[in-house]
Amino acid sequence: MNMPSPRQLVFAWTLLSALTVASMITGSLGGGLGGAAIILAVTIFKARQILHVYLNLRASTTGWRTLFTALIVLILGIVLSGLWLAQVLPH
Amino acid sequence: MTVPAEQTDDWGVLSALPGNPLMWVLILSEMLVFGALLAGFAAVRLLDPTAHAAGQAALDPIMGGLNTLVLVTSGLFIALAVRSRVDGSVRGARLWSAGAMVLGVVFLIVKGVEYAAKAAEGITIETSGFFTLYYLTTGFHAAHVVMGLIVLGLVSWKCSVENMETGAAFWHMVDLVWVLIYPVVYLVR
Repeated sequence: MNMPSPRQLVFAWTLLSALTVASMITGSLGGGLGGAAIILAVTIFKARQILHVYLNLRASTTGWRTLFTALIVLILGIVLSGLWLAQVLPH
Repeated sequence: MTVPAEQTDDWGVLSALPGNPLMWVLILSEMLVFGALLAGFAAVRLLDPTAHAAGQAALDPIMGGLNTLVLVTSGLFIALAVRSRVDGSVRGARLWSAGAMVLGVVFLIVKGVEYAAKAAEGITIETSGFFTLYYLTTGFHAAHVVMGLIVLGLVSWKCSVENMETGAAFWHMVDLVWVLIYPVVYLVR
């Protein structure tokens, strides 16, 4: 299968590193549910970079790419839902 | 009766995935297991938001972020190792793989420093539901890092293209799982 070039790998690493630092900064600022949603959206993008470039899933079918993305969205969606419910439900 | 080679290599829909199909089954399984653990954090937050918030506040997001940078960099190194091996350079593959392994050890050292800091504060697996899940999730992940180091050592020794691709896929899975763990455990509050 067509493998990513070293240039593509380094570009993916640059994105992953920059977005990790951006997430750390966003996390330190707080921001409540909105900040959490941004951090988790960035995490979905980062996970897709690892799958598509590092693991070369981009060389696979649309079905497999969709399945893995859907699983990540489901996991992080549950986390965000938990945060939202914890804020709106009475304790 | 002799089975044609093309039939023995037929993995059905899994054939569309790059590398060893069984490694993708493992990646999917691990994502489900760690996904369940991360969903557990959502449940703990719902059941006891105060203890969850206190637990998160006791963690150091800088250390977790540092470890994320360490693992994504080791992921780059092992991807470059595969690339070198495909291009015919066994020496290059072994050097990049060694770099990835060194960073794997750095990850474990940072994790150890975090655990030691928590232990010094009297925080254990029984402190709260949050810390029970924290130690289970990060400890289970750290065990995968140790296993990944062994796998990378083996594929660097028996350095065929297929072995290197398979070992790298395991390492990327460890990287992927941590990228999901970090924001959920350290940042989202």
